[in-house]
Amino acid sequence: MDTVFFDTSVDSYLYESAYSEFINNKIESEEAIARHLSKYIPMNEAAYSNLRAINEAKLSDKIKSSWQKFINFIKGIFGKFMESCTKILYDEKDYLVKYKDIILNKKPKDIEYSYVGDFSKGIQRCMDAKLPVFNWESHGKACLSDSDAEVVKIITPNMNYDTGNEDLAQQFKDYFFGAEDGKVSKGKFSDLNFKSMYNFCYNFDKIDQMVKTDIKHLEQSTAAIESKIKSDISQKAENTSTNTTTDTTKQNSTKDETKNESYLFEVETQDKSGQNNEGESRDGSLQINTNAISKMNSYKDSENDSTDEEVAKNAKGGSDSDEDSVAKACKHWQTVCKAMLTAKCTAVQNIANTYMKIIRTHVRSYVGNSKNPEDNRDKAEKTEDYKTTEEKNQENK
Amino acid sequence: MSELFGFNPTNTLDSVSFDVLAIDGVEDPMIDVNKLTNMELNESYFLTAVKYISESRMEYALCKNKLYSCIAEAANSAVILEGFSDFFSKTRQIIEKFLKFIKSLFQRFITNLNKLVGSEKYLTKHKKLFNDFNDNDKFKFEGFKYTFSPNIPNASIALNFDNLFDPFEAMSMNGSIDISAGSVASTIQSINYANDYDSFRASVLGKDGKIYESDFSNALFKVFRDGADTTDTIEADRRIVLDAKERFFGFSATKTSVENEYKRIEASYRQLEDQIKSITSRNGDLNTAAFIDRLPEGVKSNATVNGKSTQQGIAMSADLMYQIDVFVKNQLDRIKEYSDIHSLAFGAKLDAMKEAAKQDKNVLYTALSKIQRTDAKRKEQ
Repeated sequence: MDTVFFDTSVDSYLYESAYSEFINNKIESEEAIARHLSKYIPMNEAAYSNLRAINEAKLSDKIKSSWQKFINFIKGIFGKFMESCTKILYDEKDYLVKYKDIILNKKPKDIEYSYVGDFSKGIQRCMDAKLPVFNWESHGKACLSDSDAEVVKIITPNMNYDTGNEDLAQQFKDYFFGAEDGKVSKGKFSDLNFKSMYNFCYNFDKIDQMVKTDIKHLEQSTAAIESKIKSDISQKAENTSTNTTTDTTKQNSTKDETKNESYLFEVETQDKSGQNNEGESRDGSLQINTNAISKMNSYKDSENDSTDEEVAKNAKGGSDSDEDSVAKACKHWQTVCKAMLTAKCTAVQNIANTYMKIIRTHVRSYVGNSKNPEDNRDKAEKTEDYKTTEEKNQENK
Repeated sequence: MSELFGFNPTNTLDSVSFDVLAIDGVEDPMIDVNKLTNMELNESYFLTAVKYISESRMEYALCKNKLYSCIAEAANSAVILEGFSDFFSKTRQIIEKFLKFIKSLFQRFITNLNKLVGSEKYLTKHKKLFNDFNDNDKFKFEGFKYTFSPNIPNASIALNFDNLFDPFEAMSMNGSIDISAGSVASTIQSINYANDYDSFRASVLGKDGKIYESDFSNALFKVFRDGADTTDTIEADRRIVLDAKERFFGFSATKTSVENEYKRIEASYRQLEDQIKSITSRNGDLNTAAFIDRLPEGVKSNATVNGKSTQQGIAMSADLMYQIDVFVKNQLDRIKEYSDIHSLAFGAKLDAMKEAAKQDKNVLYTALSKIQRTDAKRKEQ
């Protein structure tokens, strides 16, 4: 009994890709609020280094956690992709073997076809697009850019990124389907290369090499990220010890005018006791330490005046301070990689499905619609890639 | 000799497919009637919901930042209260926007499904033929077993604003409580938001326990697909085909069910909106009386405010008013989170319903093609 493959416009990759992007934005937005809030937290000698250290630890933990989530997401996507591929090709391989002669040797009948894209080009692009290992020195600057163009150039150097089109996922999809110029392939079956379609479908299970390489590169990228975080933290520790002296002087001059000291000790005590750390909850949502805020009522620092534009920038995670540049770069890298890998999986899978539909149509034009193709499967000759006699002879030579 | 092909030929990149336009120069009669040229049919309502809540969170973050700036820079408590007033008036619009968004999703869904089903003249014309589907016509397809319950997502759960006062109720279990800046502050601290949201996600999907934020998209995908996140091979026998026919042509029942769901969620959130209005409406700069008035009866009768009975008239300190504002603000955060969870859940359900209709349509076309082939063979013999 033939298995029919229907197309769907929604799959679980799509859900997870969009949702993980949303979660990243949410965390980023909450961090921006926390940063905005922390601008108003006055510092004194005792609390300064503790608070700074806590904030840095939180940020680097979040980067690591976000990176790990990203890798898990990619592994999850690939897991599902391979599962689908195996399922599709499990039945198809027998079919291809059984009807090999018809597929490859029978002249295609006068059947017209059309599909969007140029699949030969798309397949080549999918195979060529290998995720590079992330390297801060080479890629950091591009990842800090607001535009995706530079990151796309690193990941898929041959893709013409359209800066006027904000839909990155769609651009990648178009690229991997060979359809960036809206190309529609249309013609007769006799124009198609059934041998290359056959080989692509027959060897589809070997696609896992593509997956393994990308995952390996992602894991190697983890080391680069961790090393950057460590070097940043140690750099900031040095800066902090220098800045503390300056801030102490500043704080002492206003000490009698504000109630900052009592507020700070309160925060410090709470942090040490591990209860309700400022700005942190299990899901990363912001909680207000109301005791602390109420003590801030009398605090006013003209240096901290912020305009609406600054507020908007912070809410969008647009701060360019050193401490979140790694986070920003990682997120940008992740966003582009996710879009690229999701599009690549979708394209490869859809192209294989479409090729199989074409092959089946060709076969049916000769044998009709056999009710029980399984009947003769045991007689089917198992074979490797299809090669013509001439090709085999050449190889033997 | 023309042959019938029952695939669903779409011509968009979201679902790249292959069109058989003609065989032996004869155009396939199904092509024109079956062609889905409308991109809107490929819209994912879940993705639209993700976009919507991302944007609305950004807007909410801006409101919060302005409030924090106001608090930090305020010279006196009156300025802070004014900051809260602005914040409340802006965030009250959250529910209004959320309802508008859900309504637009439902409307688009209904319109698109009308297009999907309403344009099916070919299937309608051959509707009676499906009764001829028999064991010889069976086929397999890769798809999902879609599962829909009218109570999922659950629109009417625990959305009463009174529930947000549960922490005070818990405090009053130990006898009388004094509503003071300190007790309200400690109540705020006692609420475990993450826990609350994890449980809320689970209950929206009709499950016990918790669904963590990171697992929610997967849970949403699976809940309407019989627990599966990848397609499975399904054998289309007579029962499957007739069920598909019934669902596909019984579209008006789906429409009614979806409309009822929208009405339920609208009613729940409208009620919540009224409650928020009552507690955040300022009389001068004082909302505290409204706050005390909203306390559960059991709490109110045992409560004192800064040591005085609520019956004696309430004297509010600036500190207490501040803490109450923070409490109400935190409850608005929760409502924002709840409405985001509902947006995602409804988006996912509408997606699944649309995909189910498309799958049914594909099954019906394939079944019809099988029936017609069998019929043609019989005639040849």
